[in-house]
Amino acid sequence: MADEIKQLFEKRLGRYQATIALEKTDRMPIATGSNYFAEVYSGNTKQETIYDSEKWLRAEEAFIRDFPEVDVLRNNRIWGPLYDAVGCKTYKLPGRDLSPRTQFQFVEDEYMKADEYDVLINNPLEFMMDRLLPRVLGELAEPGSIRARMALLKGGMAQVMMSQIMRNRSLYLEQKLGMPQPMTGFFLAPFDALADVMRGLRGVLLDIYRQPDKVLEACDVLVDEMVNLALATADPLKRYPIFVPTHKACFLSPKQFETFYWPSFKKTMERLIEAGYTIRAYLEGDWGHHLHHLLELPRGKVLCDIDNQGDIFKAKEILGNHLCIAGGIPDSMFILGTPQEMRERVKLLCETVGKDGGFIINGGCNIPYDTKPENYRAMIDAIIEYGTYDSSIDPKPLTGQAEESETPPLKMVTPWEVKLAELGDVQGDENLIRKPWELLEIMGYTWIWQWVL
Amino acid sequence: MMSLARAISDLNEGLVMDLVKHRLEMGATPLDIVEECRTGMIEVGERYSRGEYFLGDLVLSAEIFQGVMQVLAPALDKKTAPKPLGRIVFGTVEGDIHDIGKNITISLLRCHGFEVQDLGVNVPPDKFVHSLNETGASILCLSILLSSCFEALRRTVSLVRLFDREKKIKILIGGLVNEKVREYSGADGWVTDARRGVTICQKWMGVL
Repeated sequence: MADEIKQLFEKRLGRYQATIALEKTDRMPIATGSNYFAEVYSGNTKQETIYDSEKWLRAEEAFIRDFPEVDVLRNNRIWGPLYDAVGCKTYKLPGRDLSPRTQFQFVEDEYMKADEYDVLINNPLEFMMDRLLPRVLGELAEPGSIRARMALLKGGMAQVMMSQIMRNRSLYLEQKLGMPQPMTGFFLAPFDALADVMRGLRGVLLDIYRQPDKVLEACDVLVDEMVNLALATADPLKRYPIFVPTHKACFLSPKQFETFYWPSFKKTMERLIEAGYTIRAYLEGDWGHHLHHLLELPRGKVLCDIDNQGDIFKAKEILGNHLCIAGGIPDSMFILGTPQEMRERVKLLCETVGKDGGFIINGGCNIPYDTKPENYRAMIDAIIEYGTYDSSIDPKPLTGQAEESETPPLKMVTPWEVKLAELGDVQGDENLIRKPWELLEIMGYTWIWQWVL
Repeated sequence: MMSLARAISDLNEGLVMDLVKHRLEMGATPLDIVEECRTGMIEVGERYSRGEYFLGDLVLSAEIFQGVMQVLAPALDKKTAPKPLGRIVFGTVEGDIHDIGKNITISLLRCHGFEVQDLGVNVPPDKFVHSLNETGASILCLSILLSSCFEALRRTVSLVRLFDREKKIKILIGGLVNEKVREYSGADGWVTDARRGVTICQKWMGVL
C-alpha cells in the first residue's frame, strides 16, 4: 500500500513539475493553488478551516476520496490562533470578525507613515520591530508592556504549533493520500510588501508622485528581505514552487509598472530561481499590459495564474512557450454554470491554450468556495477526456538542477559568530550548540517578516 | 495660467492646491471651484476610457479631489448647490469588504452630478432597503468582488424588489461580475469598469 501511495505521489508531482517546466507529460494536471472548494467540501465552515486543523484535514480527505484525479492540494493557510495571540489587524477572520461562513479578507490601512521611508531603508529590521509590528499587531501596541512581551512569547509559541500542524498535514497528505503541494513558502513582490501592509494602495500611489526615489529605494531594500522570507519558508527539497500573490500591479500603468514594480520583483524572482526553485505567481487582476515582462525570466521556472479579469488567450499568445499558465474558467461558471457549459469551456481551452501543454485549467487564481460539485466533476472529466496528451508517458518527479543549486545563507539578528565571541569559547562540540542557535535565529527573523503578508 | 480643470486632469496635485488657493483669494465662489474640479475629474474619466490612464490614476484623482473638497467644505453653501442629476444608493454587499472599485465609481458619479449615499462595505440587504426608502434614490449600485458573495447579492436584489414592486428602482452591479451573475442576481445591469457605470446611470436618468 505504502508503495502504491508513493507511486501515486510521484506521478502527480511529476505531472505537475513537467507542466511547469514545459516538458511533455501524460495529461494536463488538475492543479489549483487555492482550492477553496476542497476546504469546505465536507460541509465545514470557513472558521473551522482556520481554527480546527483536524476538521480541515478531514474535509480534504473527503474531497480527495471523491475527486481522486486532483494532483495537488494546498497546505499552509492562516492558522487563527496565531493571529489572535498577537492581535493581527490585517485580516478579518471568519468566526472572529466575520460570520463563520464568510471568507477571510485582508484589511488595508496606512501602517507606515509617509515620512518613514528612511527608517525602512536604513534599517529594515528596526523598522519592522519598532514601527510596523506594534501597529499591525494589536497585542504589541505598547512595546515593553507586560502584555506586549507576553504576546511576543505567545506569538513564537503559536508559530511553532502552527508549523507542527502544517508539517503533519503535509506529511499526511503525502504519505497517506499521495498528495503533493501546489506550492510551499511565500513572498511578495517588494512593491507589494510596501503597498499592502505598510503604505496601503492610496499611500503608495501618492508616494509614486510625491517621493518616487524613496519608493524605489525601499523596493530595493525589500528584495533581500523577500528573498530571505521565501527561502526560509520554501520546501527544503525544492519540489514545490514558492508562492507569490501579486496585488497592486493591476492598478499601475505600464510606465509605473516598469519603473516601480518590475525591477525589484524581477530581481527577487531571479534570485529564487538561481537558488534552484520554481515560483507560482498569482497575477491578480488584469496583467494584460505587463505580461510581456515575464519573458525576461528563465524559461519554465514560473507558473503564472491568470485571473478572471485577465485574458487567458492573450496570455498564451504572449507567454507562449516560455512559461506555464493557469486559469481560463470564470469563477462564476463554477458557481452558477452547468456541467454542459463547463465541459464546453474545458474542451475549448484544451484545444487552444492547452493543446501543447504548459497549461493548467483553473478558475481565477482559485476554485471558489461555492462551486457546485457537479460542475467541478464536469471540469475533471473533460480535462481527462480532452487534456490527455500521451498515456504512454509515466510521469516522474524531476531531478537535477534543483538539488545542485545551493541555498544562500538565511538572515539572523545575532549570528553565531557574535554569540561565540561573547561566550569566548565552547568546551564541547560547537556544532551541537551552533545549529539550534542558528535555527532559532532564522525562525525568529522569518516570524518578524511574515507579517508583511 | 493653466486652468484648474486641466491641473486636475493632469493629476498635478501641487498645482491644483495652489490654484484653489489662488482662486479663493481672487474671490471665486467655492461652488465655481468645485465645478471646475468636476470638469477636470470628468476629463480624468475620459482619459481612463481612452486607455491613457489606469486604475491607480483614478484613485489618485479621487484623492486630489477629496483634498480640494476638504479645503472648500467650510465655505460651501449646501443651499446653492445645483440640483443633483439623480440620487444613488451605493454599497459593497454583505460579506465582502472590498471598497476600491466602489470608491472610484462613487467619486466619478459625484463628479458627474449624482448625489450618492455611500453605505460602505459588508452591507446587509435590509440596510440597502432602508437607505433607498430614506433617500428616495432611483438607482441602487452594488459592488462585489468575492464570488462567495453571489448569494448575498441575489438576496439583496430580491429584498429590494420585494419592497419595490413597480420596479421603479434600477439596480446596477459592478466588480467581478458578468451577464451570468447579473441574470442570477436579477439586477438590471452589470459593469466591470467605473466609467461605464457612470454612463449606464446617466442613461437610466435619461440624460444620455
